[in-house]
Amino acid sequence: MNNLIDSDKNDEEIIEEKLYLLDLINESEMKVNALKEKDWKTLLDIDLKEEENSMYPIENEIKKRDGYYTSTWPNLFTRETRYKMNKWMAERNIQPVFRYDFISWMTIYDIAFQDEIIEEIVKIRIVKYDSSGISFLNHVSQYIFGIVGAIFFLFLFGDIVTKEGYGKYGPIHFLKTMPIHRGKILISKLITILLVSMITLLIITIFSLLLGTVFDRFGDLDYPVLIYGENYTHQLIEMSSFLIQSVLLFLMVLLFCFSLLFLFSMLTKTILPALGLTIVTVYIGITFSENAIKSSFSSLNPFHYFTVPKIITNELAASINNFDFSFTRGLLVFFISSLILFSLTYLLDYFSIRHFKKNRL
Amino acid sequence: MIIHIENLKKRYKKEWVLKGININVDTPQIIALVGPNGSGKTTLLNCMTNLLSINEGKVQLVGKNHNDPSIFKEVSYHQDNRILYGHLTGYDHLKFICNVQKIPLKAIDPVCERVGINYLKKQVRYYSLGMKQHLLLAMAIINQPKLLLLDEPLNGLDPTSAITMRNILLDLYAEGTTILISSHNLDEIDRLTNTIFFMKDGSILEESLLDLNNRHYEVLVSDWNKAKQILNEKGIAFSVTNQNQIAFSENDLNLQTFIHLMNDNEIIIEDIDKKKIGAEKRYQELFEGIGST
Repeated sequence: MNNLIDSDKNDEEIIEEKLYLLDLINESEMKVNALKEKDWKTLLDIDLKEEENSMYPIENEIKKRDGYYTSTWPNLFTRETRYKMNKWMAERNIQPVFRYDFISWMTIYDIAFQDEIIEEIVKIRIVKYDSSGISFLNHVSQYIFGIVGAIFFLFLFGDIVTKEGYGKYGPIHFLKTMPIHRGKILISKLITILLVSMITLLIITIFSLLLGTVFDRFGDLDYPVLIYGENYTHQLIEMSSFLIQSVLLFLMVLLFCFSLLFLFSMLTKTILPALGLTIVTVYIGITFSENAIKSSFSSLNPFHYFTVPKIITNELAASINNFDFSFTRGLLVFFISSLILFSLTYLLDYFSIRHFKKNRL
Repeated sequence: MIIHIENLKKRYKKEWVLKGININVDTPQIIALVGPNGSGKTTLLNCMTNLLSINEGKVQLVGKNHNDPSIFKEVSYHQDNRILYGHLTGYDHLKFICNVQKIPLKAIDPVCERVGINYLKKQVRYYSLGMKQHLLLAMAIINQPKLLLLDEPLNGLDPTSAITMRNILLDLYAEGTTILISSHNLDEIDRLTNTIFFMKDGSILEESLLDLNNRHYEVLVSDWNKAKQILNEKGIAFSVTNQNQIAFSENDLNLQTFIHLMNDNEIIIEDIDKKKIGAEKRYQELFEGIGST
């Protein structure tokens, strides 16, 4: 240890430095033991204490509300949210997703870095992996709950209308000669397709949880998820709430996509053109909407809500500073848009514009 | 009124495919729709059941507007077999109808027995054409409809099945069901009914109540030109077939009188063919010009 101490220092300084290094060693030993014993509370408490006893104690900084507006990593928002997340996990003895140290966390407000090396290190370390079931499910949902998932489900169940033979002879004509209202037939198809999608999502969920549980552990349903708020505020919600909200919003994305597909199915009567038109419309909708995201009515545009996780965490809202974008508004916008599309489909069906080919008289 | 169709018109783009159809049926009967392909028979049935929108006119079935889905509690439409779900079994189809129509499931067995179905547990995709037709018939009659519309129900049926279907239809008629059947099988039509609507180019060309007791003769004579001249002089209605036979109806000319006329003029009668005036004969007269002078 003596080698570590500068020889020019006086005795008092040397003692102080020795004590500091001893503290550091003790702390490291405590961390190692806590890690070995899976004592997450102790592990996180050490980290929290460090933050509280730092040169700029976090509680003081929060009180001053100074530093939120800097865009240099780590700004106060980043420090505060990391501190709160660790506190949340310590209180509940939740295993953090490693790495969890201060250079493994950044938020959308961290735009600039002191230097390139720090930027590189932080950007590598914020990519965190955990093989627990819940964490794996979270990763899967990040990929599925967006345009990729929507297209996947469109391909999986997209022929529910056209395979019935709209426009040609097909089972739809059997249903139409039953004492059932036509709107009811369409609604039941929409409900069926959503139910089948829900079952598929449930299977994916169970599979992800099983896979994680078998190879590691189930994970923590109350793991914290950061939700951005207005004026650099935030809140933490449990992973279970986050996943439930994601599923709900994604189901609304599917409702919208299937309503669009129903409309195109009614117009084209065949699966491939209907599917192609739906995907192209969604793609064009998302692309063109990005250019108009700052317009006054952009929060009423359903194409903005396709990145489900970013909507739930308010990441989109915070990044453009428009908190009209929210989970509830997303649900509402998708519901109303789907209702409009569905009504159009019903009207088309009602007037039977091109039901049969002329050569079948 | 079981069927009330008033000036029904249907147009595809600029072409009128139904040009003012009028049909009124107020008592149970069997009616046949006969006409060449493209005459509008299926379109008429689809318009009646609101599978196709109509451009003009009025359609009422069993006293209700045709776009009221509740008519299908009393009206059944036996359509093309492509309406069946291939992945479902026959039982699934019948069960679905029972559930929708609120018919007890115990109605399935008697109907299947009546139609002759014993393959209910098989998926429809493995059915033959005839099996599908049987299932369609079972589906159409399970709700004991007041009005049964059938579009080419005899397609793909072997003679035994055709006889079974005919008997079922006659039984249903006897039980008070009105049947409107579109078919190309004119022999079967003759066995079912003498009320025939002949359709051509979207119109009802003739509403025939064929007198099946009226005999029709086709006679091969030694000199048909001379025979033709004699009959013309007497003002008797007749026609000449493409085999140069003299054809006439018993209503117009008694057979004995004809034989005497020929004998008196030294014309030898070589063969006499006695026929009924049926749907086929009338169809030939209307659409193929056979038998006309």
